[in-house]
Amino acid sequence: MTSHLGAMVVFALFVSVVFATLMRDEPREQLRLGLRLFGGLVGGGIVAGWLLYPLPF
Amino acid sequence: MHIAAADEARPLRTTYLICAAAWALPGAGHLWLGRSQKGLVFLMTLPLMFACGLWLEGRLFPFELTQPLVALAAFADIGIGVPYFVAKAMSQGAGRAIAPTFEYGNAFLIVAGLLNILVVLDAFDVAQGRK
Repeated sequence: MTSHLGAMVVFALFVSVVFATLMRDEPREQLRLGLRLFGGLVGGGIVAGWLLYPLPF
Repeated sequence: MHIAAADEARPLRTTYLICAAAWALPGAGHLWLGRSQKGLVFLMTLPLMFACGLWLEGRLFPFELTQPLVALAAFADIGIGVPYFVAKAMSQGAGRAIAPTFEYGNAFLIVAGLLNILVVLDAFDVAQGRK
């Protein structure tokens, strides 16, 4: 896999699954937190990528 | 699915054994404590994340105390427990710095180890009756 986006999405998936499982006890709450974390990580990564895109270095 | 409520505090010796098991095999501490759902998730997710790091040609950093950042990365790598030693025994984790995914691989390996350390700390809290 050489796709940067793909690697970031897989990374975000692992991190959000572990954090959601760690931080919440009920499966429904784990799912909600996991989805929020996953969306935040992927969305934040894409936004940061676009913000940094104009920089020359 | 049944989730155990806060347990009674276990003896400190048992707690340390649980933490050692949790470090050696991700999720083993929670399985020992009866938190099977969490234990199984950690058991599947963390070694898989570590394996992805190896597949992405990340490096298992050596303990070079003269290079503090490398040493810190090595401590993070070893946080995953037995999978680290299995990878070393299989001559995996040499890393290929020119690979496009080298830094991603490093991030996967380091974060898998750090997440397992968080899991160990959580197992400690559960064993002490705090959660």
